[in-house]
Amino acid sequence: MQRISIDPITRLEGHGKIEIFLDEEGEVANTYFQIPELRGFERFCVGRPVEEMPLLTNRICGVCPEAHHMALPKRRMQCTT
Amino acid sequence: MSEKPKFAMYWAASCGGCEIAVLNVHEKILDIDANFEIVFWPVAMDAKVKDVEAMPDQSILITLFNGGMRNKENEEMAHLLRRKSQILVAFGSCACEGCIPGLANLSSAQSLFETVYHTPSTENPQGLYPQPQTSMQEGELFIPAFNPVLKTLDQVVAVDYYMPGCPPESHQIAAVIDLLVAVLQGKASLPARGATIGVGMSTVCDECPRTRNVKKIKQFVRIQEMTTIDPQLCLLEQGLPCNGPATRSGCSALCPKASAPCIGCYGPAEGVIDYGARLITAFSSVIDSKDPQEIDRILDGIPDPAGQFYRFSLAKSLLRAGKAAWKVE
Repeated sequence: MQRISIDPITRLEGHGKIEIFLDEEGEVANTYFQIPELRGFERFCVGRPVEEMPLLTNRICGVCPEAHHMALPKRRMQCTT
Repeated sequence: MSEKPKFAMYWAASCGGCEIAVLNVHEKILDIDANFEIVFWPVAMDAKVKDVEAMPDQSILITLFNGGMRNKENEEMAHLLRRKSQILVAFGSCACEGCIPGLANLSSAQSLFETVYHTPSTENPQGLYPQPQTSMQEGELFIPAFNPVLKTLDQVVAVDYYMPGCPPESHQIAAVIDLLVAVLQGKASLPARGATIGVGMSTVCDECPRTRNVKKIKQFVRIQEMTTIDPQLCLLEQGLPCNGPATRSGCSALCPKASAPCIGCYGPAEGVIDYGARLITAFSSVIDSKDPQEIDRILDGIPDPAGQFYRFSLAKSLLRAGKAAWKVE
């Protein structure tokens, strides 16, 4: 089975790879989109002070840090009201 | 064929903020384009890994490499770009000292998987974790193996220059671009190999306009516990754990100027071997007590010592250097 690898996918934030498998007629049989990236924010944010969260979570994505930065204060407001 | 020297930028375990910081030099980006041929930069152009592999060794003049070494692919790219580049710059806090993702080194890889793949928003009924190799009916699929700890770039390959910051400030990047162009024109020479570039040579405190006295503190306070913050007085002297005394200058003290304590993103100041050790020394010097019990009480005011003292630098610290987290737990 013929295989086309696009590695890395480009012009976006993040890491990814696309594997395309072609059948005997050259038609796409199946495609796999792989994201190999893991840093563990879900783990190391646990147990840290609430005021730290905006500092930590805006490092999830440097292209859209505002969204991650604001999500935490919003959540914190919900927790205290 | 272009005669211009070749430029590359790559991200390993990173957030993309370093790329944005480079783009934030605005029209200065045209100087890069005018003086360099950009051959590899995944966020900005379509060159692939196989294109880099096909380049002659040492054919890239300079590569700005950001992101930590979280998996084998990150390490393979570090080795590849080291081989292809004359100058490899550890660009940004992740590549220099691990940055925030380095806090994951307090947990084993297994506990990261157990948390990440079992969140309330994750659908994973079979409890699957990433495998380096998976057999599908069409063929084998590969993803890079996960490292037990996050490493810095220079823990994997030799690094020529360090450019810290989370992210490096755009005016510092612009200054480095100016320097590079001057070097190409024969008007300047490169700093000594191993130097930290695009930075100041002192601490954030030295750039901070706030007034420092000899006043000692009786308690640390969390920022949400403060009703007012004196706009002129040193934040540390107001009881806020501010990382300025240990942190390298270069950002113009942006955070303290905005009444937010320095978080330490520019890494250790010149000559500091272990960031946290220096910061502990600095904090100790402002504690106003000689009574061990009272000192303990004051120090208890810092709710997260590991995060406070090694927020950006855990992966590079002496504490855990060369130790894999999974051996400790």
